[in-house]
Amino acid sequence: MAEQGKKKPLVQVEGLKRHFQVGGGKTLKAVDDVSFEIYPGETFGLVGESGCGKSTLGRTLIRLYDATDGKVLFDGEDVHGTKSKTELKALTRRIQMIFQDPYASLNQRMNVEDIIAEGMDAHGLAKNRAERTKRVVELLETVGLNAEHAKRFPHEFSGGQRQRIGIARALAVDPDFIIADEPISALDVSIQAQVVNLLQKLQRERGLTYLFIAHDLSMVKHISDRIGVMYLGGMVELATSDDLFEEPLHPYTQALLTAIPIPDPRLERERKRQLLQGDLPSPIDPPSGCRFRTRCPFATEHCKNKAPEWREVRPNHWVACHLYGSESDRAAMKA
Amino acid sequence: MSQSLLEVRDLAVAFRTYIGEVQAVRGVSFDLNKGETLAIVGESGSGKSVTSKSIMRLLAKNAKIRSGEIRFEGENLAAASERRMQSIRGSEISMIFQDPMTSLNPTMTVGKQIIEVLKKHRKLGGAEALAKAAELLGLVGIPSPEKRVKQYPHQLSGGMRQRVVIAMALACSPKILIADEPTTALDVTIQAQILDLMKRIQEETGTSIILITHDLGVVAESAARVAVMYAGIIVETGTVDELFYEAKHPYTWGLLASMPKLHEKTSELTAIPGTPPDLMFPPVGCPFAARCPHAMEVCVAKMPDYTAHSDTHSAACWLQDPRAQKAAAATGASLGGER
Repeated sequence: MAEQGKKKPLVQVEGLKRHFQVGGGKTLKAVDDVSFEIYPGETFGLVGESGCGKSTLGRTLIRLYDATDGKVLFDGEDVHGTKSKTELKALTRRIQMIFQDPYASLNQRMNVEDIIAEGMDAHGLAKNRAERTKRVVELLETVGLNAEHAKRFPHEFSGGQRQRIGIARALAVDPDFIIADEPISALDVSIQAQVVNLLQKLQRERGLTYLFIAHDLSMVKHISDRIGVMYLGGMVELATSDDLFEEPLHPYTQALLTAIPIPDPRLERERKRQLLQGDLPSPIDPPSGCRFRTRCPFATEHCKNKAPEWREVRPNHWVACHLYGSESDRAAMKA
Repeated sequence: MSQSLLEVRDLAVAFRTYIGEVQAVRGVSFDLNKGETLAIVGESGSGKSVTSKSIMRLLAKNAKIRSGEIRFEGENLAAASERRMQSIRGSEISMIFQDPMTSLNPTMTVGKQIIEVLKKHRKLGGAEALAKAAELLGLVGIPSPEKRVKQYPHQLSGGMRQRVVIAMALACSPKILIADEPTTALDVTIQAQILDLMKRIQEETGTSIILITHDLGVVAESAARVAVMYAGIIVETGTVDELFYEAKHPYTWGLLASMPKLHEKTSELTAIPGTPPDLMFPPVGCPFAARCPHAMEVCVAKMPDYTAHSDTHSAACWLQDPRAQKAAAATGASLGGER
């Protein structure tokens, strides 16, 4: 990612908002003013706790949700702009999604061949029946299954195998960008490694770009080049995977990292844990100023009055916290 | 050695289904000592939850304890009457489950649900019980407990609900607390709070804990001893240090290697190929043989006995037989230990 500066981003997200009306005249700001870029060939990890808006963000990128405000540019093209059906189709072929639950995301009444080929059919990618079958078999082999699986139904497969089918389906339309929303959370540890290795192999072979959404930080660190941390609808920190883990700046990132139990008893015994107090506030009525201030050990009056800016405090390391803010903000924190 | 409170010997549990019988637990033996935390780890279908539910005798109707003993302070629970079990459950042995929402009654205030336990086992009532309920909520770290006792489960967050469930389980100061994936449904920052709470409670009350989990990180943080289950069998057991740094069973090696390390960069994870066996037709030999890179002919033909490596550490693997060629985990030697 060293040459990142020279590369043109594949996905540009600018001030993206996705709000939901929840009745009683209230608004849930699931994603609120998020900006970042994803470069071709990289894996961008998105982490955060349940309800932080990471899945909503992923779905808004692909226009499964309309944006309330802000922009998503995919290869320079506005995803949420006015489009004819053909234009939208051409765009969505290039972006695919892999879902968390391998049981719910495959149609139980379709056989594996039809599941995988559905996208190919929709986009008219196979000239005839024979070519369709040939492509499906190739895809099955790519993901570590084989031809005899084509005529079977989802219930005949284990969770790990189903996730492979979901990956084959995403690959069927030859996409550039894959959004993987918690693709391994429902799988057992030994199977998780199989699926992650497969995703990485496919990335190497096909030059794919991934948005990898997860709450398991150690797996995100393993697979990602850069990581964005979300809290209550906003992005609080963004850095390369190594920088984020070696030197987390935002107090929330720090707390999140110390909260992960490490599978190493000696390390665990030495470790000092910074326990966060309390629970996630409701995104319907988030705290004023900095969203994290109600649980932050460093919060001051200033955090209540003013929302921190999203700043690049070091090369490629962004953070939204007054502790790393402008001089006046830092002075106000000490006051 | 401290005294053992619970001794499970050769426990076997099978489930009748319309296509055949599933051998979910196939001969499990372990001890639980006073005041310790024993973790049982394994993947889905390994039999860890069935083992814990057998201790509570909370198995589904189509399940049957085929053989074995569960001795709690000398008494065999596997043969105890349902009436006797009712006086033990919630009082001597308590259990907390993964999903706090489904273990709480949505139509009752949390205070009332805690009082139910106190009424049944302690014969407490009225203001006294209510005061005790509030005290318990305070013990598990719920702020303003007097207010919370009057609230319903939906008014509490996931972490708070799990605290309530823990408070209920602790209501009668049980000798054993069985926690079945207590933090799996929670976020990491909340998980850290709950694990911290369980540790503190154990220090204060001396309760023994059986922690069922699939997360080796949670094991490293919370347990003193570990039993690794695979396909209905304990394949290896030892203290956390023995298990994380001197593991002897290839399945344990595989589990440890398939976790990404936070402090080192690896290009590829070491995955365990294949999937666990179908327990409708359990293999005659070692159940891990089909996925094991070190498998020999004997592994498929015959189930290995346990080889003891220390007073606390043993593994069921033919590689540990004196006649076997020496093998060590390729990646296993440095597992977890070095950063």
